[in-house]
Amino acid sequence: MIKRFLFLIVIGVQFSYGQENYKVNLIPEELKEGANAIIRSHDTSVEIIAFDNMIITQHRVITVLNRFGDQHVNTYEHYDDSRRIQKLSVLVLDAKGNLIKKYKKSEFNDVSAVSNGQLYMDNRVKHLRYHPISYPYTIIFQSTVKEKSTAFLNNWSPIEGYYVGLERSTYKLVNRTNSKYKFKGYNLENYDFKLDDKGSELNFSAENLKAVERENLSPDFSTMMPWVRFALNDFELKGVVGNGSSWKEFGLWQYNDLLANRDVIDDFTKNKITQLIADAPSEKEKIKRIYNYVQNNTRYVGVQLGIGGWQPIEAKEVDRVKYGDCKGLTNYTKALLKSQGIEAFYTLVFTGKSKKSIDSDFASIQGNHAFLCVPHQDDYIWLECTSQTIPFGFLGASTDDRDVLVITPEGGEIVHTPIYDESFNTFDADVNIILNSSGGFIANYNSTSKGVQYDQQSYKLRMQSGELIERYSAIWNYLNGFTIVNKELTVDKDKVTLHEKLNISVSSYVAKVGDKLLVPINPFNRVTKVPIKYLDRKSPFETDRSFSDTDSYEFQVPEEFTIASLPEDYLINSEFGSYKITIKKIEGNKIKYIRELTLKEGVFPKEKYKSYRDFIKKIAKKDKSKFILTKQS
Amino acid sequence: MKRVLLIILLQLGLTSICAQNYKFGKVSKEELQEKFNPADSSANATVLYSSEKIEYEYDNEVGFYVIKDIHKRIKIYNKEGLEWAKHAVRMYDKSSALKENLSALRGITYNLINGEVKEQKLKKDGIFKEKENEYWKKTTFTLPSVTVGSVIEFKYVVKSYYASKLDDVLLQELIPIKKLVYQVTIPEYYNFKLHPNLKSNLNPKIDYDSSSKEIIVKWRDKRPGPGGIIRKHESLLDYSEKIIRVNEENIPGLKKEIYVANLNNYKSKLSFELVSTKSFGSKITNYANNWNSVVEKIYKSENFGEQLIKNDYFKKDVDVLLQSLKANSDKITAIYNSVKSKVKWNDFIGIYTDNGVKKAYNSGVGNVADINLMLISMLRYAGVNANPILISTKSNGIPLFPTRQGFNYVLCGVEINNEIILLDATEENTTVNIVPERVLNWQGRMIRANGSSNWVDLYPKKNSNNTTMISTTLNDDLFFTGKMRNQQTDYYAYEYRNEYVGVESESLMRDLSKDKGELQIADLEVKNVLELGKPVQQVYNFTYEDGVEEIGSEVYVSPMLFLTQEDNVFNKEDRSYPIDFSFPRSNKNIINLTIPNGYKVKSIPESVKLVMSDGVGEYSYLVKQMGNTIQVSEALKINFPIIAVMYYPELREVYKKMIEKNGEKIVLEKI
Repeated sequence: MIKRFLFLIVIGVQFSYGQENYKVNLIPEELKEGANAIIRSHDTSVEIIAFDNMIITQHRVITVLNRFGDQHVNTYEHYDDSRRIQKLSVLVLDAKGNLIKKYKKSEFNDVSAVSNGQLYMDNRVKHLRYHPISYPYTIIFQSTVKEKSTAFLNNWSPIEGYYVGLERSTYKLVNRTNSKYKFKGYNLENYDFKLDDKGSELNFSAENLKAVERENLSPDFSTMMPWVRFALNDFELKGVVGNGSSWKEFGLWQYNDLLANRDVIDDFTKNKITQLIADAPSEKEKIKRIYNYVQNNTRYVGVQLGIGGWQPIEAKEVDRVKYGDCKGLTNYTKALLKSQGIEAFYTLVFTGKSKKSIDSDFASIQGNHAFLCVPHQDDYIWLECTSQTIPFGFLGASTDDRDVLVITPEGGEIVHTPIYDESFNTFDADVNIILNSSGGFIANYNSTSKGVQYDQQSYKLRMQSGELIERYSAIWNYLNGFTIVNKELTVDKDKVTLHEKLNISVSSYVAKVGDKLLVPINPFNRVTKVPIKYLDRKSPFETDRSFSDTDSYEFQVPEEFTIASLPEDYLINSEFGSYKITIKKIEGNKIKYIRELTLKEGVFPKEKYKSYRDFIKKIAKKDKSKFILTKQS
Repeated sequence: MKRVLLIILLQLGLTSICAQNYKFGKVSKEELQEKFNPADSSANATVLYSSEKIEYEYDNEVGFYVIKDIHKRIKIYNKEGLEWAKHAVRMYDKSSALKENLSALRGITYNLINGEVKEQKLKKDGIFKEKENEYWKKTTFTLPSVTVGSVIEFKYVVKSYYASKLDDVLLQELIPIKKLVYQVTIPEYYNFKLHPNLKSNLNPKIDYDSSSKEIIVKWRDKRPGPGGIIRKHESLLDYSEKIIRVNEENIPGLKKEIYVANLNNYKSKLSFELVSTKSFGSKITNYANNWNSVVEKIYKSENFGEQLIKNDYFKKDVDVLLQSLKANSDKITAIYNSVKSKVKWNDFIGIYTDNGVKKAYNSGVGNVADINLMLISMLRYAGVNANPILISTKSNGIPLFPTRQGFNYVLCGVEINNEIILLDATEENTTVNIVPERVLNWQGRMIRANGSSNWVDLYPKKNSNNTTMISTTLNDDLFFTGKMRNQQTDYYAYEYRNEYVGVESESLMRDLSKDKGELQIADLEVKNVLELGKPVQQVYNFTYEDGVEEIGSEVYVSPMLFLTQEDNVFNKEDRSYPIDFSFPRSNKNIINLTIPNGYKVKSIPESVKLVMSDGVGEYSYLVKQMGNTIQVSEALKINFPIIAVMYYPELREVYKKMIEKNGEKIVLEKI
């Protein structure tokens, strides 16, 4: 397929750091539409002097139009041992473009940058928070950073976020080394931009891009917006020289320079593992026992130090302290498997609910998480080593269905992780409901969640009893006078299922109308949220992981009542899924309700948003169906 | 019978044999074998032993300093409990005189392997020192080889030169504590008063004891006059010490609940109040021991009282502002608005000014004290009786004794006609008597210009109203068209403004119709969003395609339309702590519904009214039919900002009835 990039070659894109006029009334009106902030100009210059010497200069002018735009000023720089901030300053201008405030580097706040979920990192940040007197105001941010690692080159993302318009953005890459740089653009098709590539110097620029509105269900920002990724074929990473123009070469470098010989454990642990798997009937069982051993004996602790951000701590160290980060625990599991002659591959991935792939045709340092790939027969077994509870061989919804980098002794290889579809992500509920004449009910509730639905419900297993009861009360907070009488949760990890067996009592369920009772037919599994209506939908939309629910409810009607009317059966099919309900009277005074819902994952064009919304709306409406009971005279 | 007795005796014997040894390093097999906490089987982990010993030591250079010895033993019962294997100690790091330091950190993990107790020590690679920011540093450590069933143990020493301050003793955690030992030994030179938290459900027992100590004190002095001789002195000092001990067992974990502003208010703890100090020469210095003297000290500070006196920096501007204004209320409004627009809050709170009012005024940014003290001095300059009110924010909790730390925020109070009006100029959308919700805590102390002070109630007494009126017609095609009018006052209006000021009409309409089914809003008009004194008013036309069901020849109508509430936030049966609503409120919905031609009303819901005792609150749901029109008026009143636990069953009943009534229908029948 030919990439439809429109490369306009322009010689000599000018960087002007001089006196410019940043009056707010110079911003074109159409850029202000739907914008909370405008990037007046953002000039990034990356100058690679040597593999261990790179100067990054930023000159960024942003006008903030209202209070929602404050979050986009981003006046900060990170630093650590290999990254030094040389210059840092902020100028503040008022709406007329007059200078009202100046901040020097020493006036920035200096704080540690340990991120959420991490115990320690040696990264720090200097940041400045400006408190505007009035809107609009303009911030000129200037920084120069000297970086010893050339493994990461800044991206160029002219549209910086939702509701941010752009007047002008430039990116300049100067390469004084003898290695080649490479770059790849994403989502550039629909945007005008300029590129001038001289081989040793490159300039990108774009002008006048309108602010983008954030819409419900829209795909990840980076999958819609234009951006460019850059990398060198030869580079340095915190003192380690690296190279790779293809994934094969790149993976080989990672294997040899970051991973090799770190997967050694002592004989004591080796013998323990040998004993553990001695009577295992199959290779798969051996792998499973070793994985369970890791789950039961280690825990996740996030510590990122120096090259340790990219290189796993040695397996024997993890063996000693029994904790590690994702790299350490993955490498440890690999080492235990290796000690038993089982080969496994350290694997890099972008983790997250949004399915971000390692780009298969752009070799560079990518990924934000490590896990393990074990070749088994003609397939792979995937092991997430940071969770003590996730079932063996199951990935859940944070690393499924995406390209990942598997690092083998022969080099890197891009592999796609398993897709969990609606035949696996199931939910089945079987409930007996005994209605009483005062309008409440007691129910025997049995459900089984599987696959990604297991993943979504498994948090319940981690809750304390009281917390779990509160959680159920919140899930079913529309069941008035709700009480959990009894609960029993069981797990079958081999099948990736969670069973919930509950005894529920609800004191006020039906609506009384004269001598009639109006009984909602679906007490437990309702679609209540209909997607927001857009008069003019602008972006495509995305639906989450496919799943399939089957709910089967049997109602026992109180003796003194007869069934006056039942909702009709209903069936609807669409490209988004299907929904079917059947209701019938069965022996005695009973009603059987069966609901089958399948929703499919996908990215759909904006034109289909309305029909998707209509589909969900119909389901939500049918989920509110009621049957009527009348008192026998 | 005999056998039973024997078993009991044996068990008694057993307990005494395996009496716990709490020495560091003496973890028992029984502790390692325990599968769950018998007192709370759902606990993920339990503090088996928590010991804190505090001693005062003397140094000839710096005087008395405090040595705090911490020792903890924790049992991990399940994988969720593993998070208790890491621990962080935060220490003050700003001024060298008051700097805190951690030393002698030791940690051991114990595991039971093949019936043997195996130990593993905490090493350097498990300890991390971090400079958080200008004021604080942190030492974090994580124990090695911790798995389900492990017992971990650690101890460390914190040295603090801030001898006149003793930290609160926390007698409760989020997990249960089996045994807690606390001991502090205080020399006679420091006199502290002890305050337990009376809001906690627990009541710790405190023991007092005394001892004596001898130290050698060395000092030098110099003869007056030029060329004076330096003389060294040394003397033996014998003084008495007061010992305070707490010895508690089986402390339950602190429970989380919704509608609680600050769980720490209910945590079992002890606070120390410094009453006086005594010099070696027996000279006694008294410290804050009543709120008056606390306030006096704050008032005398150059970062407080003196900031109220300065007025040269604003004189010119305020003179211009006041030129044609006569009435006090106009002056207040003008000055209040001027401060709000000229000086912005930098998100820092405090009772003392940061850079001073003058600098804040000129640079346009300041902390809470900079801004509100400036407001007060401007108002005073204009002849308004304005005074500072010291308060404790919700996150600061409620102080257990008179202390300067009990206050962390300052507001402006204006006395007019025996009434006190509260003003806070740190935020955009606050107004007269509408202050940020962080401030609505407990009570405040107002200081007058002459230095006298008294308590001021901060809780809003006036109910904030949220009133919605809908007039609607159910069409022949069984969907609704109509007009909605909504009015929000006071705190409702404040919250509305915080959310929606500056939001475009289109996204506002989308937001207002969110999760309201098939509601289509048109012609939205919002009034008074920027006129802070007035209620926010919203008017729109709508069509609504939900809330109607046709079953047979009958039509079931939800008369509350898109105002129908389905979810009960108070489904839970029991309640441990008071319910914090933040401000008293009156919510009212009035719906006038005209039914389509060709139908008649077959039945309407019953009217109800529930009144809670002591005027705490009430709920009413009244239905009237007038020909083809049905009027439903629903009202919920919660008359206090905070409701005591004893009213929870009634409150729960009110909410249950409200959800029940919201589910009821009008039945129409074809004629």
